Amino acid sequence: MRLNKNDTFTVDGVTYKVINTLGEGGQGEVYLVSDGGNTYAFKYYKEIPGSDFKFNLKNNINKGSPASTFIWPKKYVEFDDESCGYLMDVRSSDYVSFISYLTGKNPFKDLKTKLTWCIELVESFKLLHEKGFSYQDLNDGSFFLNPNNGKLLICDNDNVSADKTNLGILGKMRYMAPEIVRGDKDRMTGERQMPDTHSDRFSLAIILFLTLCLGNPFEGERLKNHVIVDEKAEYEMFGKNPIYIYSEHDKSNRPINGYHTAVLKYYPMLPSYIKEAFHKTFTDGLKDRENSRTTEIEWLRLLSQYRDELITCPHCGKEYIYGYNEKKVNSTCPHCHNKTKEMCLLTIGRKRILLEPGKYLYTVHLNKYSSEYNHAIGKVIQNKNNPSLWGIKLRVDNDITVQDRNGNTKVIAKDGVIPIINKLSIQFDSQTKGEIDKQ
Amino acid sequence: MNNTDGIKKQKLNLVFVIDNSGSMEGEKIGAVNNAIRDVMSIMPEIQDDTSDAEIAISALTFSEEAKWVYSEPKSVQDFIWKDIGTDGGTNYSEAYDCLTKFFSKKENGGQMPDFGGVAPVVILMSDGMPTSYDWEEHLDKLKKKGWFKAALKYALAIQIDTKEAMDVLTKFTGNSETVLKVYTAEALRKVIKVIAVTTTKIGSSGDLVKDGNAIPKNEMMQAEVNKDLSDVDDVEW
Repeated sequence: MRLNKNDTFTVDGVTYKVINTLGEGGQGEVYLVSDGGNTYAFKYYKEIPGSDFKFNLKNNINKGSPASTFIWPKKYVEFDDESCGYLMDVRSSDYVSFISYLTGKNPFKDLKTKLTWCIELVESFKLLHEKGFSYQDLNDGSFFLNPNNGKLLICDNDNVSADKTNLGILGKMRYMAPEIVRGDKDRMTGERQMPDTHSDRFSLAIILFLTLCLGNPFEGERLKNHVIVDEKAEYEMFGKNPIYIYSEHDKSNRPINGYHTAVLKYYPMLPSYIKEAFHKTFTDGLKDRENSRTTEIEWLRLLSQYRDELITCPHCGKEYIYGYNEKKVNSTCPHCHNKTKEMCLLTIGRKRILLEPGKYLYTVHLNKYSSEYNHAIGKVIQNKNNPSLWGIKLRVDNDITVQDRNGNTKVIAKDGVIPIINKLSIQFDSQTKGEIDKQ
Repeated sequence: MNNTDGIKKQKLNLVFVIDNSGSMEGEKIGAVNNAIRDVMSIMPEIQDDTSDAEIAISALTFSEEAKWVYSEPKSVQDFIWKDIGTDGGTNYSEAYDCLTKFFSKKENGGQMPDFGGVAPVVILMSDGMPTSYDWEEHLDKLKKKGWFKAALKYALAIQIDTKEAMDVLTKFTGNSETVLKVYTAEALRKVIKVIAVTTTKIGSSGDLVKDGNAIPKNEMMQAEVNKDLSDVDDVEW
């Protein structure tokens, strides 16, 4: 490590003092520094990066962060010997690494929370892409999560750059789009294919698959062809000839029984529309990079639908899908095989939400033009004195009119609680109507 | 932990092969003991930083006879180092036999999986000539093992200056560039640490690609080790 405790450096008239070392990665050393009031993390590159890299980094700082989930570079620092780095915010200790989630050390509190994290991830990428950036080197080391509330942080944003910019692409094969692994030539320009929104989308689908199924979508039976998994084996499996483990067209690479146990357990529990979204990206999307990779907007809709239709089994406490898009609605818990007798469905237009204590309503439920999938505006609560009585506590600016099955209407003042009663009709606003249906 | 709770990882074997013959007595074996303790204090962090590989550690000592410290490879948490002492000759033949068995499949009494493992890392450390005359025949058998061929092999020549003794180690690694001459106990401690930590860190992380080409991992490990060794005095490679 090149900096020691109490070393100082000055940028734009502000002096930063090194408090201690936070860590060391392949590219750089990270220190905790203080300007006397606030603390920051300082990433100091081990080798002096090229001028393109420096230019890109400064450009990212000027353009600013696409969303609060990105630990974005804040200030560029260059020393007299041209060695450089940047200052960024310090990651809060509530967050754990995505790697620790993948290895089973830090599971999410529940499936709902896991899906909230997935939605946050997709929303972040949507905002990043809308700003004209692509992440380029997406891998398991890039993310952090709060397992209790599904909050996300994305680090290593110094490689983020404008679409199709070449910063000397180095990435982990297991997470990359195959055309980038292979270095395919672009048909139009004849130049090597560069990471862009489309390759990011492929990597994003891999991260989502890893999160939901705890396995890589391209690692199956064909692993047996490689006694030793070296770079040539990975190039074959993830670049040259990737085969999706649940491909309907080619069944030669299914997960290995007794080996890929997590995938074999979790994949069958996914709703069919999530399976289809993966299938499209990992089969047709291998070739048709522009049109067959599930987009962020599609993922948001599907993941939110998945979260909406979760029910908690009253017997074992695990969550499963109600299944209103499956061949048959599911009243039997796949974990403990007991029946869930009562379910309570709220229908708002085309959206159907299974209501149960702890479930949230989001802006997108009440406003079909909204893209705020994780902005909670209501929560299902239980009556303190009688827990069998449920209600929806809403945080909206207008009064709400409800009507029961006998035609009696009632106005619920803003911030009030809507009782959850069978066949209750709810006029959320002039355009949005919902109905509760107990089954 | 229930194995459905986490992603399936590839096994990465790190094997220390330690000459603990009489001539290693004193500060040499002391440095080895200290180095492995140092390495083990860093290993949990390396394991925590990867979802790609499960690190498994083994140590083989050899003097008059060869002996595994643990009968099977241990995880980072379970590999607890107990200081080793010294005694007797330098029986390379038996050490190579132990390794030949180790690099066989489980069904043949070895430790290698049928599929799904990454190239092992083997670090041999010795300060002298074999006292077993037929060591080369035993090495030939070991060299037939695919897992050994694929392994990244390092040898540390501790205060060795004869060409003959260096040749023994070069034959083991198959590459003179991965035989390092170490002159002091302090250098030995540092070199063991650099090699074990750097190679495990890279070996336990997924393979990389740059501009459409897969990066050969063994070369990358070697380059990184060389870079990290540039700060260590009393080493020649």
